[in-house]
Amino acid sequence: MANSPAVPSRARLPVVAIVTRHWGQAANEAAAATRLVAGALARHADVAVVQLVENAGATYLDSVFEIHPAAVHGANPRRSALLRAALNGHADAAGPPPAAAELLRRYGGEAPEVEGELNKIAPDAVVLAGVDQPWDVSVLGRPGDGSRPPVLVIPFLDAGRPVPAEIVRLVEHADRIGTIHPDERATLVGLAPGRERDIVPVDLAIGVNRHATADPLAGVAAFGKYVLLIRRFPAGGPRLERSVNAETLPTILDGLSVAEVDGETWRICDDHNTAVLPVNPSGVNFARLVARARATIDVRPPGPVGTMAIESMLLGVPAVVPDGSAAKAHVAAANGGLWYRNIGELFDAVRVLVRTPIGAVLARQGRAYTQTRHGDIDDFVARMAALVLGHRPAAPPHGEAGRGV
Amino acid sequence: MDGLSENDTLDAATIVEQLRSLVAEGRHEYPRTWMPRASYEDLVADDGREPIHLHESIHYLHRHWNMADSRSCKGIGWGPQAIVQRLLSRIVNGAMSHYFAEEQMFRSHLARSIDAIAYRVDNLNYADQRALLGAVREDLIELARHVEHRLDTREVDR
Repeated sequence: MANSPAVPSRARLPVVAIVTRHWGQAANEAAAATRLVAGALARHADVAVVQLVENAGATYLDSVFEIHPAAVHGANPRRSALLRAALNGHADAAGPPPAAAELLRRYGGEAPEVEGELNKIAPDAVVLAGVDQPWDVSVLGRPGDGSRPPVLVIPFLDAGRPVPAEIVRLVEHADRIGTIHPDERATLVGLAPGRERDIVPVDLAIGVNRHATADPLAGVAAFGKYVLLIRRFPAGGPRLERSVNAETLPTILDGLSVAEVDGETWRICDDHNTAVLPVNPSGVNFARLVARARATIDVRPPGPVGTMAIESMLLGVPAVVPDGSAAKAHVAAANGGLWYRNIGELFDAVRVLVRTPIGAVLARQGRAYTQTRHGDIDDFVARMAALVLGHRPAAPPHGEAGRGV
Repeated sequence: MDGLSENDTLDAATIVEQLRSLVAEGRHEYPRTWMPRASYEDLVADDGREPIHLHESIHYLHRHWNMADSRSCKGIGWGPQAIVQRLLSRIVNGAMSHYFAEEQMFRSHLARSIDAIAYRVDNLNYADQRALLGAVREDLIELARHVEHRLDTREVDR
């Protein structure tokens, strides 16, 4: 083998371990963002994922990632979700009341096998993705402890929600903290004064298929100009019952149509007609629908990343998003859309965007901002390598751009 | 807005604030009760109680407590009626100046007092509701503990 010219010898790549609950095919933003980060790191490292799951199994391969399932014992996700919902109004900087924090910690369970899995992987760097880390992170040591691997924490904090008590423990053991949106950075700077330099924006790169967006979806052209209402996407993701829908919105839009994405059901309405769009509810088709819209209106429960808002702005479409969300933080930073607290403000925002030149100006500003910060996948790959591995590689050693993303 | 060109720059937060201020002035057209998510503070803000310090009569009081301009009746032009009006005004103001000054002071204190009382009442009004919601929150935590205990008991029974 040593003399074989067909297989060039390759220097050992660094190994990165990602410890997270956010992995797999679940239709949530944190899982998609974790996969983006892992994909970027896989350009310059071997990536192993310690996945916190209910029932652990054997190690397996998922694309280029080696998955090490680690069981979480004694978790009560339903009780935890109930208590978190009850605490939603408790937006104190000090976090939830101690009794509630203790209950939440207990409901989170324990994952003692994580330490063993990390020992097996022997990583050169560790990424803790998500604030939910029910294991003894003190085994990682603290920044400056001997030759321990550098630790990056990406907490995925929800904007406008109580800050989980666990974040303090994670920040103490992290060399760097990666933030997904500007409000998250502001929160963390407040929690860890003096560590501003360690709190770094991750600025996820969102890939958009621009060739596909050149063609409109079949059936859409007959309805003329439209705004896009996003009730649920991707299919299987969270959805809230809203009084605003594709049939009520046209009444205030003076002839403009409304396209609606509700999981697998996509339709478009004007004052008199409704057509169900016979399309595969894929990401590419979604981008095609977004690209031709005058504005996107997101009425889904807010997620921790705000991916849709970034994608909409990248495609030059102003976004209307809920106040107090990650999406709002992106839109406000980009000046690429407006935000609402209630249905009246949502209507006002949509009318301003479609009836005045403000919509065109916000669209241009949003596109310029997102193309710089979220539009360059190669730059994202280099930044993630610098953030996690501590170096900025000159050229990727293997694979095409975005491998495994 | 009409003079806006695509090359101008806009601050989205300013636009949102301007839209909200239009609504605060009462020029809204839509129902504004639906909330994007449950929140106790939102319930406080949206419970239909109008703060007393925003009452129309208090605004009127603020705009009209100072009546100094009404005292200086100078008449218009140089006709005999205007000259008599100015003369009478100087006589009455000269004779009653102490009274007018006292009354002006009284009105200003009255306006300040009513304003302070209105703010205090509003604070008490919402403090009462906030305390109530705080108690509800504590009850929910207590309920979570109780439910957990019952679930644990049932698990042991099985």
